[in-house]
Formats: sequence, C-alpha cells, structure tokens
Amino acid sequence: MRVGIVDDAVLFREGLARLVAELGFEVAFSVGTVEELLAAVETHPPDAVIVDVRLPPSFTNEGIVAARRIRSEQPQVGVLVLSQYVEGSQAARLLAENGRGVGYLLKDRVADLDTLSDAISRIATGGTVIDPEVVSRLLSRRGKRDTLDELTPREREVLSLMAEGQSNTAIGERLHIGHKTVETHISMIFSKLELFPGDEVDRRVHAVLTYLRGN
Amino acid sequence: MGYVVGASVVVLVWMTGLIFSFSIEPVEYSNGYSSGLGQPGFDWLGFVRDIAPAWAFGIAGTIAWRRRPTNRIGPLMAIIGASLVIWGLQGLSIPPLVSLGLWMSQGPQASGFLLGVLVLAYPSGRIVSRLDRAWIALGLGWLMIVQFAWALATPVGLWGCIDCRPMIVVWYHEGIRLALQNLSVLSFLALAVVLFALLIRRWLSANATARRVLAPVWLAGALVPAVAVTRAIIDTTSERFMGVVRVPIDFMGVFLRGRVPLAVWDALPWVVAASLLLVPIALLWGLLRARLGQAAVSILAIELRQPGRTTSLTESLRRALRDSSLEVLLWSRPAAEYLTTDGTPVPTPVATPKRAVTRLDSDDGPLAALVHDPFLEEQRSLVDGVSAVAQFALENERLHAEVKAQLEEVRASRERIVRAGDEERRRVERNIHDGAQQRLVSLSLALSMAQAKAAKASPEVVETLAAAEVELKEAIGELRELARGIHPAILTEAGLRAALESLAERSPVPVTVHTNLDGPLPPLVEATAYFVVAEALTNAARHASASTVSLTADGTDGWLRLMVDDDGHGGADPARGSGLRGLLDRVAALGGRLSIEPSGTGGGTRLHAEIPCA
Repeated sequence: MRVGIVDDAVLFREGLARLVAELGFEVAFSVGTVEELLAAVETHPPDAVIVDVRLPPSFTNEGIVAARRIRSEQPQVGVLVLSQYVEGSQAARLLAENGRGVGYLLKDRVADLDTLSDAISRIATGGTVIDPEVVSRLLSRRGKRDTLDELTPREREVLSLMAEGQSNTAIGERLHIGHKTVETHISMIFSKLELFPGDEVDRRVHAVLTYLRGN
Repeated sequence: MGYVVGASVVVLVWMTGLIFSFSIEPVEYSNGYSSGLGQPGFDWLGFVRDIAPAWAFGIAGTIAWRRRPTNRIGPLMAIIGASLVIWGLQGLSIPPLVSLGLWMSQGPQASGFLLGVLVLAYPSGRIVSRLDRAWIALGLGWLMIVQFAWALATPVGLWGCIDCRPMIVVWYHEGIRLALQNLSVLSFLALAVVLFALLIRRWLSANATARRVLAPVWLAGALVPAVAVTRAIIDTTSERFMGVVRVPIDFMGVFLRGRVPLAVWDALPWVVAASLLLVPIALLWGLLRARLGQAAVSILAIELRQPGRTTSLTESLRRALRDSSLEVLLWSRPAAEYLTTDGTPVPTPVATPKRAVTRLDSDDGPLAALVHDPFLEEQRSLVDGVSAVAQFALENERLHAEVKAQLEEVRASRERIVRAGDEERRRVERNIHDGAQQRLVSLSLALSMAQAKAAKASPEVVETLAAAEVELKEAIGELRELARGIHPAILTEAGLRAALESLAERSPVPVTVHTNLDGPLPPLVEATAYFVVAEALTNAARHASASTVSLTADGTDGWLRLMVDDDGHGGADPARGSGLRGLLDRVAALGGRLSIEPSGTGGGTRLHAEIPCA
C-alpha cells in the first residue's frame, strides 16, 4: 500500500515516515505543504494520505480543506486527518462532507503502531476511523445517560467501537466474541436507541455520532 | 455717522415744512396740492402720502443708528428719508438749490439708487461682493453724469414753476434735454434689472436662516424699483422719446393707458408710497426681532438653570440665536483640542464665508467655540449675551465632553489591552503547538520505533520504553489541555459555532446549543464569546449543580448576543468569582454588556452577554 504524508514539522514528518515504512507500507511522498500534497496526489495517487489539520499558510484548517478536495477529486484515496485536538463537531463535519474513506485521529495516537496500521488500512479500503477520545467524550455526557443506561456494559463497549468505525469482524476480535454475538449486540443497541442506520459502516458511524452529539 | 443722521433729520424737517408751506400758498404751481391749508380742497391725503415714506425712513434710520451705532444701515436709511423730500428745494426759487432738487428728485429718483444700495448692504451695512460694488459704481456714474447733465439741461423745475429756475441752463436745447432724459430713464431701467439679478443670485445662494431674515426687506426693496420704474415710464410717455427707444416705451405707455382703468392709474402713487413705507417697516421689524433675541437671552438663562433640563445645550443655543445650523465645540484642556458635545475630537474650526466662528474664553483659557451662520455676526450683542448666559452651562458641558473623551480613550485603551492579551494567547498557543507539542509527539514516535526494534532483543527494555511512553502520553495530554485553556484551536480551525459545540460536548452537564451566526465574527469577539460560554458552563456544572443548560448565540445584526440558561440553584455572583469578574471587564472593554440574573424558570441562572461586532 502506498501512503503519502503531509506535515509542516520536519521532525514529526520524518519520524512518521519511518514508522509507516516500519509497518510495511510504502511511503509514496513526505511533504510540507498542501500544494506539494495535491501535486503528488494528482501525478501518482497513493492509497492513503496522512494530513495534519494545521498547515501553511494560515495554520488554521488547511488540512481539512485539502482532505475534502482530495476526497472529491480522487475518491479512491483515503485521507487520515491528524490534529493536536479532536472535536466531535469536526469529526461529524468530516463524515458529513466526505462520507467514507476518512479518518480523524489525535496526533499522538500514531505512536501506537497497531492503531496507526489499522487506521491506514481501513481508510485505504474505504473504511472510517474516529478517534476513541471523541467517542468516549460523547459517551460520558450526562444528558444521554437515560437512554444509554439501558445498554449493558458489553453493549456500551460495542457501541464505542462502532462509533470509532470498527467493522463487525474487528469488534468481534477486539472483544473476543463471535460474529453472531456482535450482530445481536448491534441490533439490540439500535432497537434500544431507536436508530435505523443500515449496514454500511460509515453510515453507522455517522448515525451513532449524530445520536451521541444530538441535542 | 451721527452727523449724517442728524443732517438727514434736519433736511427732513426743513423740507416737510417747505413742502407744506408751498401747499398753503395760493399758487400758480400745477402741483398735486391744488390749494393750501385752510382752503377748501387742500389735499391732506396727498401731502401725507408723499411725506410719510420719507419720515418712516428717517425714524427707522435713527432708531437703527441708535441701536447699532457701527452699522451703516441706519444712516443710509436716514439719507434715503432726506432724499425722498429733497425735491422740495425747488420751491425756494434759488437756482443752485432748484438744480439740486431737480437733480436728486426728478424722474427716476436718486432715492431709487440709494434704495438699491440699502438692499445690497443689508444687513451688515457693508458691500462685500465685487458684483455689488460694480453695481454701485455704475449707479453713481448714472447719478453723477447722466442725471446731473439732465438736471443742468432742464430749464423748468417741478410743477412747471416759472420762478423755479434751475441754476444753469448752459446747453438748453429741447432735443438735448429729451435725449438726456431718455438716456437717464433707460440707464435707470438697466440698473434696476441688474439689481434684480443680484438679488436673485444672493437669494439662491443664501441659506435658510439668512433668507428668513432678509426676505421682507428684499421683497420691499424689489417692489420699490419695480413700481418706480413703472411710474417713470408712465410719467415720461407724455414726453417724446427719440428714435427706436421711443417705440417700445411709447407703445407700453399707450397700451397701458388704453387698457388700465383710471382708478388703477390714480392708485399708482399710493402703491409707490405704500411699498416705500414697507422698507423701513421691514427694517424696524428686523430690529424688533433682535429685541426678541434679547428676550431669548433671558429665556435661555431660565432654561439653563432648570435642574431636569432635557434639551441639549446645543439645542437651547440654536433656539436662542435662531440658527439651526449652530454647532457647539468645547475645548478640552488635557488634550488641547476641540471636542464635539459627545467628546469626539475635531480640528480647530476656521471661519469661512459660509460659516462664522465665535470663540469663547473663560478666565482660565479657551472654553468653547460656536460655529454658526455668518449672519449672526450682525447680532454680535445677542451672541455675546447668549454666550455670557451660557458660560456656566458651557463650562459644565466642556467638562462633560472632556470626561467623555477620556472615557472613550480609556475604553479604547482597555480594548487594546484585551486585544494585545488575546494576541499574546494566540501566539503562546501557536508556540506550544509548533514547538513542544510537535517535539513530544515526535518523541513518542521515536519511542514506538525503539520499542518495535527492541522487541526481539530485550523484553526489559521494551517494558521500560512502554512505561516512558505512558508518561509521555500523559504529558502530551496535559500540555494539550493547557494549550486549549490558553487559546482554543477550534476557534481558528472551525469558527465560533464549532467551538461552542465543542464546549457543549465537553460539558459534563448536557447543553442544547442554538446558533444563528452568519460567517465569521471578529476574532476578539469570538474569543470573548468562547470564554464567556466556557465560564458559564463551568459555573453551571460546578457551582450550580444544574442538570441542563441551554445556550443561544445570535450574531446576525451587528451584535453577538449570548444567552446561557441553566436550571441549577443559582448563586453566580460576579463580585465574588474572579472568573466572571474578568469576563465582565473583558466584555465591557469591547463595548458590550454582560449580566447575570435569575432565569425565569425555577431559580436557575441566566447569563446574558451582548458584544458589538463592528
């Protein structure tokens, strides 16, 4: 799998490139600006790119804008957006604007080799990745407790992983339970929360996030 | 000036007596007063009609001179009064005086020219415009050359009196006399037309205040030449005009005589007299207005003393001086510059032809400046009276304006301080983000790398590295929270709406968010709103034990309005909590308001903030 990296901090960029290579991916390019990124993606599209939110020139949301552009022009390229801060509203906007093939992770999450490897693979194949911190923060809010209290602890675990964008198989492996059991949990969750999101993983993530953020 | 007035009055009295005495002698004159006093048929009405305008001018001129000794309008009116009766000299049968009377009176009279001068000079008594000066020069030329020559060439005085021989009849020849007479009438007509044009020009360029004051005088002033000219045409149609000139004037006379009823004809002298009377009356009325102005000074004095005065000082001064365009500028001593009444600094006013400036000083230095219509320059005493009366009020207003200006300066400096603080926060956050955060994350990457490499060699090293990585993650997390507290990155990344949603997400109390925001607001406003909401949510959760919070942000009409309602047990007090106190200052520094009050439902707290976005 070919992976492109864009970040204006050279130290981080090079460290990440080494890590990505160590994990067995091919580093297609490692650049510092949005222009270089877009040019590289245009000439030889990789399977996935890792983009920092804050990039030159204004250091505000260039990464998000670039992600949207790549997703609309080259839908086969997955985009993993990294940020020093993660916000539910940003996650929801990324999903709403781009649908599948996007990921949103805290920057320091990439030091976790399994998480990084898993995230790259998932977005490259059209999956969705949402940072666990976003999900746990939404789950810990008091407002939804009434409905969420009806879930069993196991169901809450399944709900968290679902919101992070994990597939049924991955949830089963993570929790050491069978495929059928996962499906049962999921249908119980949906009926308790009165959600009807369909089978697609990204729609499921969007529905769950919207529910958790919901006012 | 006094001599001029005195001489004019003497002439008036003398001439009145003279004319009266002709009128009582049984005479051979074919004048209007066919028989003398005490004799049947003495035309009292005619006598009074011819004398009254002259006396009206004389009296009005004397009063005007007494009231405004430096203004030439009074003496000028007195001269006009004398010139209106100077024709009486002809009755003395002394040739030089007969000539003088003839020169000044016969046909288009000299007083017509003097009236023109009066109208042009009113109200200042000065002739400023070059065009006006040119008109007067032309008029003098007409009087001194054309009219004088005609007087010398005319052998017979008024009323066809045989004894009333003019002084010299050097060039007497009926043809020359007629030619001079025609020339005189026509030049006078031309002068009258030009005068009309000058009056119209002045009227068009005058502002409302000047028009109001000048209107009656001009009306009368314009009426007199009009009527005098008509009369002159009628008088001279019996004489023979020469050549081409004759045709239109003769024709007009014949035409009028044929068409106009005799009664109208007879009424003409009355119309002339009445319109002549209007001029001094209008001027007297102008003087009475000035006296009303004196009353306005007293009214102003009372008005300014009233404790609960609602009208502004500017408004009161405008009313007292009858100038709706008047502006009051107040001198600020600390800033050494003029301020408007709301404390805005303005450049020192300079007098222009359209705006006059009256500077007022107190014992301690400059006090104020009134910028007003130049017409008020003529009401110097009124302006001085009003200024004296308003002295204390002006001093008061001056201090107010000074305080307002200082307040504005303090507000601006407060805003600058907040802005500088805000920029500093952004800078610190950016430095943390680009520096320490990046380095620590890079370090954690290196640690991961090291773990991967050491996995095969030494499990103990891996364990140590894993422990270090946990520590490092803690450190990164703490640094992240620190940076977020300094300046929320989400504000610059995604705007106020996302930032408020982020606050709501992080709040342990469920928050419903309603936003109505059109695009980005100024960064300082957004940051302030963020910190206000953050503090309100913290208070709701920590101190008020609220179970729900409702947050509304509306930024569509040039103001950002925030409302945070909770259902807790209240108790938020800006006086105690330093967080709220600081935010109150911060919002006020931006010219906004922040209030905390019990919310309508069940004892919760409502925080309400309004911040201008301009």
